[in-house]
Amino acid sequence: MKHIPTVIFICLLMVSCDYLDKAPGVDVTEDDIFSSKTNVETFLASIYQKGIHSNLGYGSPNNSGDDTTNPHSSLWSGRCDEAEQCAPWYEPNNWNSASVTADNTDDRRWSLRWEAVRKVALMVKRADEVPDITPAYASQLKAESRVIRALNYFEMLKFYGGVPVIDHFIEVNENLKIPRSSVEDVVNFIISDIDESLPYLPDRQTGALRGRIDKGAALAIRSKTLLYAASPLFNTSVPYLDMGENNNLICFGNEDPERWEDAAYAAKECLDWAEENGCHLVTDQGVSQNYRYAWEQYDNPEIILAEKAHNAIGKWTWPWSSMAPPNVYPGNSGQSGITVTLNHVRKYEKKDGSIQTWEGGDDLQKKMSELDFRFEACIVGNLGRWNSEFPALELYEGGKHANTCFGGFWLHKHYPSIISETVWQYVPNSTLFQLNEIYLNYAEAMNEAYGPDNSNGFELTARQAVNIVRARSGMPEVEASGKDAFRQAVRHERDIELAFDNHRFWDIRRWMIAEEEGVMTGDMYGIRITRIEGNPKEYHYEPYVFETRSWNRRGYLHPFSTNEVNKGYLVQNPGY
Amino acid sequence: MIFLGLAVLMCSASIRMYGREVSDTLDRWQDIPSSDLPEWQIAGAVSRVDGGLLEDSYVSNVSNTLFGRLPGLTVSGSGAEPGSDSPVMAGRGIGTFGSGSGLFFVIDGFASTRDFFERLSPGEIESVELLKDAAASALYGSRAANGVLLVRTRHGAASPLKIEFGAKAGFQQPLRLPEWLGSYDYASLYNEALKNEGKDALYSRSDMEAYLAGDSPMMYPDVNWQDEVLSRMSPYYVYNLTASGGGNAVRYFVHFNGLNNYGLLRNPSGVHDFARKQSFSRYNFRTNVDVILSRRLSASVILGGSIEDKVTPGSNESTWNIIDLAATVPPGAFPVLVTADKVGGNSVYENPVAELTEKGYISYNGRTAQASLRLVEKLDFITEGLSIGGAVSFNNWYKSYSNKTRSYARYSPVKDSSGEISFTQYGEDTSLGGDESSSWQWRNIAANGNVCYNRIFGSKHYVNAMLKVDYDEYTVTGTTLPFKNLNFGGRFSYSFGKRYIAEFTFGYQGNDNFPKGSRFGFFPAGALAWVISEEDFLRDSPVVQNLKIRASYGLVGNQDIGGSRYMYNQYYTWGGNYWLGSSNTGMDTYVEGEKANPFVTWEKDRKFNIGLDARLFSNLYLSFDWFRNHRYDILARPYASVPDWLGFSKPNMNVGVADNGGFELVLGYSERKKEFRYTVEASAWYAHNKVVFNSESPQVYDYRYSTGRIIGQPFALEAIGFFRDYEDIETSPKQIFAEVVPGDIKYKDQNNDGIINEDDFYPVGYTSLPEISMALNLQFEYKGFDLGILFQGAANRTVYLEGKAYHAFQNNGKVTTMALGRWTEQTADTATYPRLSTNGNKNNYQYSSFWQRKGDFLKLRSLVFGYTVTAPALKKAGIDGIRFCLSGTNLFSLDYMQGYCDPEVLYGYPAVRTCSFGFNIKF
Repeated sequence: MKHIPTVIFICLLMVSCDYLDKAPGVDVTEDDIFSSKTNVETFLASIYQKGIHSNLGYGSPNNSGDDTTNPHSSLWSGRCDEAEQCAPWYEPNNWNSASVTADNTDDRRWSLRWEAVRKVALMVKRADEVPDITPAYASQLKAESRVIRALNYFEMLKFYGGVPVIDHFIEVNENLKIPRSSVEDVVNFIISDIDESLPYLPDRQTGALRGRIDKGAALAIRSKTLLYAASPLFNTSVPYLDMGENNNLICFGNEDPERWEDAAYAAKECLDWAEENGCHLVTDQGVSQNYRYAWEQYDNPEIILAEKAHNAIGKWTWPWSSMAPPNVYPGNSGQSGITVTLNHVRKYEKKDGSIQTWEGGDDLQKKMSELDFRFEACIVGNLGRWNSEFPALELYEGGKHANTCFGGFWLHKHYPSIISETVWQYVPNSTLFQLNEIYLNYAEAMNEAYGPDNSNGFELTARQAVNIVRARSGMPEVEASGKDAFRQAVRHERDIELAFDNHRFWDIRRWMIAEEEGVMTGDMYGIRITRIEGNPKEYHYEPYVFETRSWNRRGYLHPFSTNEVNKGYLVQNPGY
Repeated sequence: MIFLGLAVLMCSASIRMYGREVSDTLDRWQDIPSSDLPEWQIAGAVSRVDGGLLEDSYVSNVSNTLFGRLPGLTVSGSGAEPGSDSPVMAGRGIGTFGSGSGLFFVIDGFASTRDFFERLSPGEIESVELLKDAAASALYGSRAANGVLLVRTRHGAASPLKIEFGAKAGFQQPLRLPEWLGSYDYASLYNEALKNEGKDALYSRSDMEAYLAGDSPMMYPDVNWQDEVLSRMSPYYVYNLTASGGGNAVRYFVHFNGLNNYGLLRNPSGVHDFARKQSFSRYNFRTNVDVILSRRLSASVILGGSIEDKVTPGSNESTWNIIDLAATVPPGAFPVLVTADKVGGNSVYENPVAELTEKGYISYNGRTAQASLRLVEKLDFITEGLSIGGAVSFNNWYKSYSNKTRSYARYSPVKDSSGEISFTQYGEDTSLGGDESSSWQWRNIAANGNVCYNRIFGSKHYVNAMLKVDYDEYTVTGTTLPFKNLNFGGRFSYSFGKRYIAEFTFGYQGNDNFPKGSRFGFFPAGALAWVISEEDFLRDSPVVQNLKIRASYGLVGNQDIGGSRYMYNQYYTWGGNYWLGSSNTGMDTYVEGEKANPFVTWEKDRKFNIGLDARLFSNLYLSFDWFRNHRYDILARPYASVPDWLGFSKPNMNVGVADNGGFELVLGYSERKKEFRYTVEASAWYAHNKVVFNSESPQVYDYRYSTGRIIGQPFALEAIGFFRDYEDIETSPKQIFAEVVPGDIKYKDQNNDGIINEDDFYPVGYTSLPEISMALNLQFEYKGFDLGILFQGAANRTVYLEGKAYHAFQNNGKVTTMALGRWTEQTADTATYPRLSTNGNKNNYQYSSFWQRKGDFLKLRSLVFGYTVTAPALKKAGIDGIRFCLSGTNLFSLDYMQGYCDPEVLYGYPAVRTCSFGFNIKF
């Protein structure tokens, strides 16, 4: 017994180093994710969460926010000539003073997209291992994921041109210095993701599965990608600013008219899919209401894919608070509202298809009442209706709702009328792909490839496609003849039909018209509205310049942030 | 594990770690072998204080007695609420920007925590040592880099029974309290603030007249809520009983200490039976016994424990909410009571007094237990000087809550047109609800074993060697798995003729937080010392009695690296919902967590130290240490290198680097002239750190980098006065935080871009932890009288004025006298405070240099005056002596706070001054 200390000392020395091993825990690991259908579906949901962007702004201004869908603070309309975000602290205004720079970028989804891309790679790598799902469902999981990857690469193509192509699940010990790929490689990567996924996707997701990727979504993304690829910004040998040997990062490096044919065919395939699967334009609400119904009613038959990242959100916070006029439903430091410019309002035709003039005068109410139904489906003018609680907004000088309404019009689109004091919270859904866009993609590409009236053996000509869209809002047929005139007509139709849906900002870039006076540079007009003594029904209006904007040609593509460039693996876009 | 546990339970022997030997412990340990080195043989850097020195200034937390006591230990006060009054402590400043920068505590040779240390009474502490350099601390390897605080409890010596009884009674007073303005001033300033914002006055002319007249206390009261909840004096009591002694076979030390501290919150008794006064009590027990079991085998048993009770009125464990509420409710809002049994209140504010009297209380009972058994066996039969030992220890801290809370109705007086006063009720009286379900614990088990070899060969070769192995494992409420460590270490010291000393120390340590295969780290350190005064040419010098120079260099680590546990594992975590389908059905999402770091490791610190100890002219002594520490492998996110397109959240990686350097200097003079003895000791220590690399993301402006600056460098807008008028605003850079008007704080445009925004936050000032600490310690003894004075000072320190006592009307707060110097058009030239504004001014209350203050101070930390009676008559009664003593702590402070607050405690429970009277009888 005397030698107990010695015995113990030896015992302690013999303690195995396994003593320090971690006991099995309840943590979820990568293996657990791919161990059951339930688990892998939670992972799929996270791919949607990070990978499906939104046109609504869920973040707060001056704060990158932690919203996983769209940490931007408002719609993209205030970043171009459609509208003005009234509160100056919102970031859209940076574009209007050409002050988006590498130190002050305007892409809050930059890292979210890469997270999505990584998740997709993991799903592709391991979905087949899940024991309790069929091989067909495993293929569908991979296919849905890859389409989301395609969507994210398309988004990045829009923002930046060529970006690094990450096609597999990266481990930390790999070479991480992956450079930017060319525009062509990125387009090909998007198309291969879609083409290889199409056979495994369901035709149309319905009911409880609305919001998940189906063939229609894949075809819509392909249509849009090829349309952008065919457009002048990329489909050229001379980029907007020269990058020398790196020009292929911001354009194809050649001009190829066949790209328009590809774009036309892609749009046709999407239209064919719609026809076969019950996806159609809303035409049963009456010509005055069809258009409004199509943006306001969630999951209507016209919608191909919508973002559904949120449950009901209170009207005092984003996304609602950045859209409601300050005296309607003011929100958290929002109190912004989005005012539509006269530059945009001027584009609305009268109901007979003729051009409306805005020279100033004593007939504002009459002028507005003459416009295309799509005007009042999107925009609330003086004495216009916001909802039942605000049946007539007073936008004249001294009116209750005129504060900061520089344009003389408030934007209403994307803010459902149902939101009120009683319905104080509401689910935001943001439509990303809607069939009206595909008709116009088709018309634009067909016109470029074959002219306005040549159907090339397909069902519709470019002109017919435009007229279908116009007809459902009661507008007469388009009259322009000749390819060039028709090009202007299609662009005009896009400006009206797809207004405020996050198209204009990108269209003016791919058409390379951003630099034109009144688009991204020069005078932005609004109207000043005043009462007319003794006449309660009419108002005087006077166009005026509320803001003079500036433009820098580098703005055709976004800058990468200085942070990222300084890591040494990225070539910055020209001009930044 | 079971094998290990059983083995350990059956066993073991004693190991004492590193440190100096003092005379009484030498006696005690003569026949129990120890690995300790005698003081002359120490080549590392160690500061030490005796427990006895701490007793006189002890109030409720022994950490608060360490101000200025241990050169190299920076102590910074952070509140005085009894039971939650832990100061910030740092060994040689802060050496890392990682999250774990705290000291490692070792109590009686076992890994422990600060909480156990702070639950000791000074009467049971033999010594507290700060191990500062690598040589002194390498045995603790991966836990040593932030400094080690080595605590020893007292043991008995071979002597007849000695009994000591002491008692002390005293009181605490708030040092400085915010001076809130009364009703009339409050109302007029609030109206002024509204007017500044273009709003209508809240208080009408007749309201103002009524407040001024003060003759209708029901409708127009003037309540100083702070005085209503805080008393100006609170009592406290400390009493202790110690018995020690022993013979050749058994020695014992038995200790009891009691403490009652009643805090400053007013006594709520008399309103409801259930209301309880704020109080904090702790009772300490200790029995340390050493037994010589046989010629070879000895044992040592340590049993220490404490019980503490804390009661706080209201519904929070801390007094903060009540004090904050008293800082919020306007003086003219409502009276304390509207009738004898109805408390005042309104729709916005609860009643601070009713929080004490009506709401119930939160209380807890906490128990600590420290138990260990050690066995040491001499192995002289193998070779002389060899011994082997083993020990096992259990420590436990358990807290259980007993809460009784309720809601109460409050009444707001309303006067109708006829002048009748009625009361509007807000809230409901509810019955008292009890909750016994909360508890918290920290517990560990530890064991160690060692082999020592101490021998002198011939008369000149001193050999001192030790090898050890130990493990410890602790469990904390709220974590999923216990924390485990397995450590090896050793020290080899050789001296030639007490002149030349060489030492090598190492730790080889493993921790479960790191990946298999790289769990263990090797931490070597070496030290050399030369005792020059032992050389022939100095040995008989009348000038130099002692002169020793020391140098050490080595590597230690810090395993408290921050970040998530088991960072080498890839986790997936719940990430919210995605809402599919027309009916918006939430789908759970799981997302890849922070990227696993399979290479995660501990922080490492290369420490270099040189030192000098001297005693000259018999009376003058000097000690100087100079150090450079280089910390690397600090966790940081590689923002500067890993591209975003990898798509994972960047892992914490061991890439950070920080330097820390400074010195400690102690200079003392001690003399004895017949019956007059005195010591004057001045000391100062300095530690300056710098972030060398933290992989921060690239900054547009160089001054925005935290790299190259001190750790925790505040970045503030630089205030350059107030806007004079609108022209001044027009011609100045635009401040984007809010629309500015004359009288608002004007900031400097650091980057000259014409806009004041987040880019203009500039590095200004220091942190609240001082870089320089100073102490002046004076001790006088004459016949039976003794006087001890300790001044402590701090420099290179910046504090930030924040909270309702400084930011007038912000966060719905009140206003203090500080705002009387506000900017108005008339006082534009002399204003000391920005123009007033109501809640939510986003310009003036930005983090700016306007609210920073120089935090340097000089405090009289402790003043003790004692008289010891040793009359022969007492001797006959068996009493060796009685000492009476008057003591005070924190008696005054010289600082830059302009009287608004204490420089260490800016808001909340105030800093206190303590005065007491006590006696101590020795039998």
